[in-house]
Amino acid sequence: MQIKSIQAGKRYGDLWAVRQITLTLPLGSPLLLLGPSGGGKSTLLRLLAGLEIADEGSIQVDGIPLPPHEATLREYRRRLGFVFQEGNLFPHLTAEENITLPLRYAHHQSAAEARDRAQSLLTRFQLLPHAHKKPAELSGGQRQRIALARALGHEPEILFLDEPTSALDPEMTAEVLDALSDVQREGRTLVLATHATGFARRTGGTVAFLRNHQLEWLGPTAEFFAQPPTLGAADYLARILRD
Amino acid sequence: MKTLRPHPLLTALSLFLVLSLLGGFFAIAFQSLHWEWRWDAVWAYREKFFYGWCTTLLLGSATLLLSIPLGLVLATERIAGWLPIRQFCTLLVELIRGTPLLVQILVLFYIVGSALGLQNRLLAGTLILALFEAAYFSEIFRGAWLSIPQSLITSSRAIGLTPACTFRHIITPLGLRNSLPALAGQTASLLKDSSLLSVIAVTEVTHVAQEINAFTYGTLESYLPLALAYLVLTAPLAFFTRRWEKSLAYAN
Repeated sequence: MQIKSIQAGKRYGDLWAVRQITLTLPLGSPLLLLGPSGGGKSTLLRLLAGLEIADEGSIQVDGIPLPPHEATLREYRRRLGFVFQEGNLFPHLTAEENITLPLRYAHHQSAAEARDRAQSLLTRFQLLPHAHKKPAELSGGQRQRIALARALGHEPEILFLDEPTSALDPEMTAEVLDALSDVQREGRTLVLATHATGFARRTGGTVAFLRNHQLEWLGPTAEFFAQPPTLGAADYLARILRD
Repeated sequence: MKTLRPHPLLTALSLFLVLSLLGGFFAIAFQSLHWEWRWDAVWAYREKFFYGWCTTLLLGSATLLLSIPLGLVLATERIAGWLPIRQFCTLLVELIRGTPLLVQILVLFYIVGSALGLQNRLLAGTLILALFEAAYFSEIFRGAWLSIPQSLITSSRAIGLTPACTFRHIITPLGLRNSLPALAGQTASLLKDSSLLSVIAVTEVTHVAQEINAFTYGTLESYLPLALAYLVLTAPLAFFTRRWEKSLAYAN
């Protein structure tokens, strides 16, 4: 699946959250969306993932622009995986039920199939003892790892993560990033909006640097960190790395 | 929220104290009335009273079964309906909630009901009451729906659930959990509201109690059992809802 953003933009009221974004998702290697808060990272991620409809330009999937129809977008999203900053898990369902819900009702698996898949994912992320706990009984790090497990349940072609560790303390952040490294090693395409620059640097791939609602720079991650390519990037890195 | 659970013995002792205070107060009040109790006069009407109680139960159940789906429809239309339908539902709900039930019963039965040729008092009464309660239920449902965090709806879209699936697996269970106390309260109100149908001579239990009072002049002997007759219905409702609420709890 090849995903391209062609001059795409999204407006909320009179305000453009992102404008004229043109990029192609690199397959098999991570795309890191970096940049100051409010710069448009989340919106671009949502546009690429079919959660928002472009107000200018288009998002193309294998050469065909995504239509503004919820049913088609839903089919597209079923091929993807998502992890958000918080509020991923349904509070009335156990960890295991959170993972089986999409498998059963979006991917039409049987109850037994879905449970087997959930158990193997929970085992992989060392969460099996917590299978029958509700989100409120779990730590923030455990919740995000379950959200990650849920996003992987149906073997998505691309995994989108919108600041998955921004609401966590450093210890839990490390816990989630370790799990994410593990996922990345298996060669799945990741699109990650993050402030975790240490992780970004280790991950490699491509950086899309967004500032003031525009794509300011696009290039190899190593290059971005070796020599900040723009004044905005230098300013951003200086702020992030100061503390 | 977690509260410390006191010792069972202390709980029992405290309950005993509360009950005796309350009982004592009423005992003194009734003593000072010097009422001449004439239970034998009303006892003769026990079958009629029981029949009225059964009518109330039947009327209440039918109203509940009609008003819950109707309330759900009203809430859904008000949240996501086509503009004219949304306006109609909003107007209807506000009109019903803003005027006395007594007036609604009289107008709907004697004017609208007559125009439609609806003469069965029990049926008409049930429909009028169902419409009234549906307006209140719709507000409870609407509030419960709007209280569900947007992040969960986004999450549900992201995992590829259809709106119908989201409604069934996310909105309904979460909304039910949030609105259960209000739903139970409204159901108890519904049972008591049905007493107003006595004005169009539906022979529910309040109407029967009024008749017994008229025949025997035993006012307290007619109305005290009436209070008990409603309590027998509403007390288990409160009890079982609380247990149901506990079973649905998912966070401390």
